[in-house]
Amino acid sequence: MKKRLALVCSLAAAPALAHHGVAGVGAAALEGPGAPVESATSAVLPEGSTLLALKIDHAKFQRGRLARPDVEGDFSRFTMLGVGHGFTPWFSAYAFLPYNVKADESGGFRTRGFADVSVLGQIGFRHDGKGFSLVPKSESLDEMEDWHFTVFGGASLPTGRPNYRLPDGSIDPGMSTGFGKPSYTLGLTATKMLTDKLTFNAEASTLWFKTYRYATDYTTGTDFTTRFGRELRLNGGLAWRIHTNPEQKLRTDLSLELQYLKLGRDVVDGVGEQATGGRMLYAVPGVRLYWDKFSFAVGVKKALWKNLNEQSQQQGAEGLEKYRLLISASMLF
Amino acid sequence: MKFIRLALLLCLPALPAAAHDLWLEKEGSGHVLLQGHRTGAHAGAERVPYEAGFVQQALCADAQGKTRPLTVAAGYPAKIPGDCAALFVAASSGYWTKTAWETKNAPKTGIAGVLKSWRSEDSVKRVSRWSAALAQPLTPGLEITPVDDPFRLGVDDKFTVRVTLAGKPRANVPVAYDGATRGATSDDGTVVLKIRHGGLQMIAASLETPLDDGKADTLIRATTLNFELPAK
Repeated sequence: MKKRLALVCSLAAAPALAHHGVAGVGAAALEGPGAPVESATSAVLPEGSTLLALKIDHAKFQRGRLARPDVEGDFSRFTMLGVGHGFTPWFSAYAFLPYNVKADESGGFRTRGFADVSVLGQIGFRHDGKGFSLVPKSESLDEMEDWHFTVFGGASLPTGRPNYRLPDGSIDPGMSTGFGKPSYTLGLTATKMLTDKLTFNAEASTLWFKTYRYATDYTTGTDFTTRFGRELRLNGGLAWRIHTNPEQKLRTDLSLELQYLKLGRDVVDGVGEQATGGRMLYAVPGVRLYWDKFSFAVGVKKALWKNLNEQSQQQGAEGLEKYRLLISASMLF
Repeated sequence: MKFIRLALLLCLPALPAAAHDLWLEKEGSGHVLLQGHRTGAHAGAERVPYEAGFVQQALCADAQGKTRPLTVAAGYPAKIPGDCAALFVAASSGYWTKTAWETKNAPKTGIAGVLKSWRSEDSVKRVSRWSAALAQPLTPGLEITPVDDPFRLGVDDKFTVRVTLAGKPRANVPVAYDGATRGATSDDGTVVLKIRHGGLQMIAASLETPLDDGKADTLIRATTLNFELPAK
């Protein structure tokens, strides 16, 4: 049985990175809506501007029953570099290049490499109390207090390495650095400034995969197909502005997110795979710092609750992390 | 993420933090022109007298938007008689020159060690009764004009004003409500603001442009729009 290691398709993280709190510190931006650490928000890039973003997601997993005492516990480190551009005041597009490292404690090996690149498009709109409209070129702080929304959609491209062969000649899709086929995401965000210091944010998104036929697994002598389970995310969060310094163009926000994740069961050779999929609820406390045109965020993600399929047999999967350390940085120019 | 759309604002100056507010208060059948710290953004004495000769022009507009000049006696506060649908007052404190040691109310000519110099021009418009004609600017100077009847507004309502110069919309001008910058004008000169309280409304904008008269480096124009809503 293949382990269902935490996948983190680049598309799963892309919306968050695409939307994540971009620096906007100016006379007025110091007082604009805040952004949580990981969830996607409803901000779009200003027309003609370009965003560079980096995110590191280091997931440390609980040690499984098969853990070797001389080996560190499983971990995965998902690093992603993103670039985005505001083509209109209400449409932004992004491209992301992930680099993944996955360590398997029981196998005593790691896989690493560039994973599937992804592209994402995002449309921003708002409701001003009278009706919906696309995000205009210029908004005052008073308009930013209105409900804002985005819809986003994207796809990953199979540029990674799905047939990553492990030392024993086997292929474990969960350890590979590519999915072999495109995956797709669709999502919706909603953001509202509740007060001049407190911002509410919500995200609902889904991610789905296609079936890919892997190369021959030397340990079994056969090839096989896998389709990873669909993912559904429902995130809610608050960002609270605790500090501003207009002279130094500094702003600090505290944030707290609750993230519900439902993972579908993987399908291998047309049959639902045991010990895959489940539901879980994460909490992500964090802090975000803005300085001029830069934004930095740090958060810790931990499962508050989980109900995994065949939970006792799962190892190294979402929901079984000891913690996930999230670090992101971005620059707008 | 929030910048966003505020990118333009990053390049804009906030309203001069040390500047005085200028506003028109109703007094009897006319108005008085006051200067000082009316909004919460400014600390210090609430009233700051201005020099004789500060007021340059006063215009009284009727419901058709036609203006007539008013005579204003020198002194502080300037008392401006007349029942106007809108009252416009232009003023200037003249030239200012900043050196490492002091800021003088004089042109830079002949002053050593000049760090910065400017000519200051101010205006304030108080709308007392609404008519469609008042949705147009009254003067060619920097001016803030409501695009619709402001007297229908209540607390938390949003409203749009247009900033004009030479009678044309002016983009990228920072606009403040009660002394706090809330946004910059878009290409059509408009910006959307929210009513935060009843009573006298203070909406201000400023614009700094190069000046080549040899007496100062820049011309700083500041303008204020007043209208009064029922106090809550």
